[in-house]
Amino acid sequence: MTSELDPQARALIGLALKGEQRLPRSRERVRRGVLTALAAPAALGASEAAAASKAAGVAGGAATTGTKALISAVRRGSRSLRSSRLVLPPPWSD
Amino acid sequence: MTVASLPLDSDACEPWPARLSFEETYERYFDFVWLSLRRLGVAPALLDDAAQDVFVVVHRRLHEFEYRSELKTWLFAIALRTARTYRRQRQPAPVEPVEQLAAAAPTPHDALAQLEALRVIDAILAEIDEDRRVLLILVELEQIAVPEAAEVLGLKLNTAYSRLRLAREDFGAAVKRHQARDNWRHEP
Repeated sequence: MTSELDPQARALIGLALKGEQRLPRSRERVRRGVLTALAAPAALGASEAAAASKAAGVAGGAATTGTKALISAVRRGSRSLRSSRLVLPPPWSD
Repeated sequence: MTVASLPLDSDACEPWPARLSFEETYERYFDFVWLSLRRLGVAPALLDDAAQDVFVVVHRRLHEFEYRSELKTWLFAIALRTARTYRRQRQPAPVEPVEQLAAAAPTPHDALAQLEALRVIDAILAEIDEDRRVLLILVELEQIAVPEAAEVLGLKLNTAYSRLRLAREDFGAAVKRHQARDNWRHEP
């Protein structure tokens, strides 16, 4: 069986949880980031995305240098879009 | 209720959980994910990026979730993997600025007490071995039942209980150490 948490420790957790609730967070900024990240592959174009996808499935690093560069570009592009203010329609809304 | 909407499992007493859309999931669980990442040691400056990564995964995989366990624990598992990646790459987290918390608290005294508690909890969690810390977060901070926490962490139930006991001992001892240190500091 488990021992119970020390009452002092429990009281401290209760206080900290209240403090946590007040911490500022960026719900909308993160939402925009998610939308942008999800939209990034589409922005690459179908052929590039297909090439990247195909290369990503090659085991043991057999992808060509050009394809590896493309994959890197895809990754870089996805990351660099994070701070973008671009607002796209939600992909989950039909 | 139509026949089609009835649960197939006759033993099920709980209502059949409604599938949440991504947007509903985001609205309902954003705070949980964000706070979990923070508790798991992701640096404050990187919390938004980490939360974004979690919800990108959620968007891609939500349709695979079968509601056999709580959505919350599934999200925690994704947050846990994301936090590990972020912690490997980055420096330990500094604490949040006092002003941000103080501005939002009902009274200055409340603000200081909550801030101090948060600082202590952050410091203690950072001291505890990760396996124990994760269990402590799930059970003591999120009030998730031990069997469910064990499932999400891939632990046998006995292992989870044993680990939780050690985590509570670690935590209690660390609280006492911090209090002793603070008392020493405040003695004239």
